[in-house]
Amino acid sequence: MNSPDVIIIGGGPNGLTSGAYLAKAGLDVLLLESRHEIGGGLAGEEVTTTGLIHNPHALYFLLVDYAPPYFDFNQELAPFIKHIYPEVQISMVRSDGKSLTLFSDPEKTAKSIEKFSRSDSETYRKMYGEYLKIVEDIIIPYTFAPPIPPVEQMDLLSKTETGQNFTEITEMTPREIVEENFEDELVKALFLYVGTHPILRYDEPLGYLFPLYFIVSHRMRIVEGGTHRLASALAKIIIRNGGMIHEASEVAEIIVEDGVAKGVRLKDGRKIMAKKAILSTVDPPQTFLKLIGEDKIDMDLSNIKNWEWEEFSFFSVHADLTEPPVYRSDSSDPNRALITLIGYDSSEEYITEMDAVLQGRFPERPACEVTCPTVFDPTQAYGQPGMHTLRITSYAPFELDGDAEKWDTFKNEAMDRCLSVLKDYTENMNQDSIRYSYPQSPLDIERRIPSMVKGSIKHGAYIPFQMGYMRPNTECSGYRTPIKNLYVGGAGVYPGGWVSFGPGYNSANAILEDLGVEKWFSEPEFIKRAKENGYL
Amino acid sequence: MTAEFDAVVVGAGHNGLILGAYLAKSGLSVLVCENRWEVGGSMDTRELFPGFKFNLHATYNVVHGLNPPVYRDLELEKFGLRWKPCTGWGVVFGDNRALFYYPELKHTLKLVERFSQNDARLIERLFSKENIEKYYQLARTLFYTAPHELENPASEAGRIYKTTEGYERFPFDSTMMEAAEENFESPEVQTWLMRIVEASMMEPSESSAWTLMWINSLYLNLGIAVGGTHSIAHVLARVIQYYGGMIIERDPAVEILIENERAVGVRLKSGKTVRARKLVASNLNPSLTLELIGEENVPSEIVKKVKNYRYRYTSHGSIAIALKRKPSWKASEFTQDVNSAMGLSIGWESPENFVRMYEAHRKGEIYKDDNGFMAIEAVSFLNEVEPTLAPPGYHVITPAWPYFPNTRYAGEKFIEYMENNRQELLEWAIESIMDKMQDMKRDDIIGATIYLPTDVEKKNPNMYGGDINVGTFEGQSMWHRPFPEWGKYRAYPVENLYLCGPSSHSGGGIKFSNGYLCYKTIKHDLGLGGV
Repeated sequence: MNSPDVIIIGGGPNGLTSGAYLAKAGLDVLLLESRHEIGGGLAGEEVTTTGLIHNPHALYFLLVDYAPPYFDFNQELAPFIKHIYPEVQISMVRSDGKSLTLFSDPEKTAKSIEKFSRSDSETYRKMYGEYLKIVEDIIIPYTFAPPIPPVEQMDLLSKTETGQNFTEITEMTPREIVEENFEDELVKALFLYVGTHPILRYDEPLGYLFPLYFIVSHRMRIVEGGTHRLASALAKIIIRNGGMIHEASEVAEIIVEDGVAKGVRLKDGRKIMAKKAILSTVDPPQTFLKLIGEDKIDMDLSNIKNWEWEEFSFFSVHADLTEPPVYRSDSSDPNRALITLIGYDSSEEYITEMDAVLQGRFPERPACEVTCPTVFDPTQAYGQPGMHTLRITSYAPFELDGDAEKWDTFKNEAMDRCLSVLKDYTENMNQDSIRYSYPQSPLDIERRIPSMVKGSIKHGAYIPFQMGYMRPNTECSGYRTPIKNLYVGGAGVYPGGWVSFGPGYNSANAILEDLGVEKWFSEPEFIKRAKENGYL
Repeated sequence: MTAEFDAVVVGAGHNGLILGAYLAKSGLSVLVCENRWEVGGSMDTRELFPGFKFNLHATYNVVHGLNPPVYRDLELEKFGLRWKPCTGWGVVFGDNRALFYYPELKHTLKLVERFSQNDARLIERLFSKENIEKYYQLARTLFYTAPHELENPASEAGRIYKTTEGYERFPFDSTMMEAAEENFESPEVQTWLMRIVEASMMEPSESSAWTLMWINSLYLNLGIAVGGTHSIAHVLARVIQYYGGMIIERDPAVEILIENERAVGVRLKSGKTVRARKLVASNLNPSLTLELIGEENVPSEIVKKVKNYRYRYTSHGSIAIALKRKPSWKASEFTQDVNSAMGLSIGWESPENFVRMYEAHRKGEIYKDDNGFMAIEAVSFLNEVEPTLAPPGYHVITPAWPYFPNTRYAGEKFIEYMENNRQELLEWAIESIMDKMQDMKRDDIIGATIYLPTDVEKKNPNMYGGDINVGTFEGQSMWHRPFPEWGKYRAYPVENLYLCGPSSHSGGGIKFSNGYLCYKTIKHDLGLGGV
């Protein structure tokens, strides 16, 4: 075959995003995906019975209001992608039936909090205003631009009040932020969840992420027709612009000659050369140690060699329901929430749960995040009209009591535990209403998506020396590498995972700049503003 | 909201995608609309258990040896399609002997010799290089000649057939069962050869003797798609998109718009109206197509013929099993090579079984073999050929298609029985497979699931009652498929309305044929340049 200009390794959200930008810029793109289907975390499967779409990975999207691809590809996505924005975003049900709800509208949220604590409600209002400014002025621009060295960044932030406010919390843990600000136990539990639900530790000093998760927890959308639609739509942009996508094409080696990345060798023996660039979106150890090899790269590899996988992952149950869950609650909010939280009444209980998971156990009564997308989008039950799809997720260790393989025999038991919590918290979930259920363990996550090693959905732990300018290391966090023509742009690279589109967008920018190809898209308004404000 | 295209294709299954790709490549603006969330219809590969992928339906490309014109016209390889050669197809009998194809004929013959020397010699002659070339020429004539190119491809195919040695032995007017019993002495050899024709959805009662050897010859050169059958759908969809065509999922046509007896567009479920300047094509079966046209828009005799269109009495389900280790067939004591053969059927002993199976299916009952086991078509450990289907060190059983009666003909009670006994039917299928394995243990199974014919129809509404051929060939073949007035890819009397689906010639399965022939017809009618 002819050599493409750019080879992209990995067809997850970042590979697809980068591919779409590069293809539309006129470059001849070939995207290689090891699985039989593109999408990575943008997955959809009819894993239960025919006609019901389940979303085993990404389900709700947090950056629809901000991520540049949504705006730059607005025209291309419009015929295929419609987002649904539930008014009730998160509702938490206490064991006594009282519910606390986070609405898309902060005013309504404040009122819900007020039922529990007047002072927390005031604090929430204040935080919302302050965090919104931090998010829109600083965090969002930083997400869609290359990382800045920490000292330089501190300096830029010190010049404004918003920047100082942001700096104050950056080294705090989610637990500290919650403890410092709120008094009611349920309110604390809700915001601890908000600050940690991308599977983060409550005691990791990642305070700078807190405002982001706080704000975007009011902005979650689902994709009508299921998450995988987004992957298909991005793929269509690549193809429409002359690019190619090959599935079942696992890359075994990045061919490096004289310090230049020349092409790839596939597991099936094919060798494909790239004229201009190679972008790897797989996890950092795979890119540098397996596909390239230590001897081929002149760089301090210590961060990559000591790469830490995420300390825990998640377990999920996918069920087919005859009707959506009706919670035993004083309000109907939990029934119409995008996310309903059950199984814990306080931040202490939440922490105890997470501690058990960190110690390698799966709790007897797991805390559950429940979603029933068909309440908002009946088309996800396209083949069984009237039926509903349910997902329960719960934090879980990859190595269960020290042994990942144990999941294969334990997962039905784990599913029963989750379903039992659900039955307790609802009026109508029982053998008749739950038609079929299907478990997915952390081991299954790794089996489905090989870059999610040990169930690491973000390609690697969020710990200080794997974040920001250090993700995956100081040489490569700006998407360029010491190997000429080789770029990195997966979730293991700044700003990280959870379908932020950041690595994909930023790596495409870097490649276009280096190749001197004119950008067909304009700089986002928030970047311009951040430059004016002196943050960039 | 109204949009306008040159052509609208209803349904993004195998044939709709092929037609759409040719039209787009010819420079027409094309919209393909699809009911499901994914294109591909029965080209369906699913990761049912993480890391384990299953071809739930179409798997073996039986026309691979014919090198269909679609391959090169649409440059499928450039768009990422890769094939693996694959052979096997055979039967594991109740006494755990087995008959199947090897990649090389001489090895197959050695195996046949163990059943009958005479049969081996006869097969050797019938499968001479010269004969196989003729069989392929015959098959190409049948599958890739459009109506305007040849008034009667069947008679041309027959003319070629007459020059082969098979003609005298397997004449046009006998059933394949009569001919098999007359010409081969071993009941196992008869069963094996007939089973393979049956896999091409011919029925034993038809005047099908003449198909016996040429259909078998196709099974000497099977291909399977790398990454699973769904890859074929991806690639065809990308050809459409590459040439500027648009595919819209989850928005099926609910009406074909007709003005002055011409098809002028479609109305989609979302409410959008799409105008078609040149043509509308339907990949759907006659009943579903008629629903979209509206009975009032065709003469009553057409309505009657649509209603009389007949489906097969046999339907298929699908079994998917994820395994920790690969078991050995008990038949490996007879021949070790059985462990690397793909597409082995169980539940067949003698030609008599065919009769019994069809009788059971006509009565709306599930057929059981002599020992009470389920008959299952094509049990395969496909990751042996295509390793991407299972994680390293693990295995899949895919495909494995249990036979069932057509659920629409069997009736509501039967459907209810099936729905209520999903788990039991799965257990029965697993038992039936385990009975043929030497060392398969329950603990080896990581996950298993069953798809019933009702699921097949839910996914692919074309397949009434789970009939994967979307209509029997009996009396409904060639230009008489689905019936003479609609038989040449045009839906009389509606102008500009074309039919490209499996209810047109050459029927169901992945044959790169119907959509291609429909395109050729359109090209001829409209005087298109291009491909």
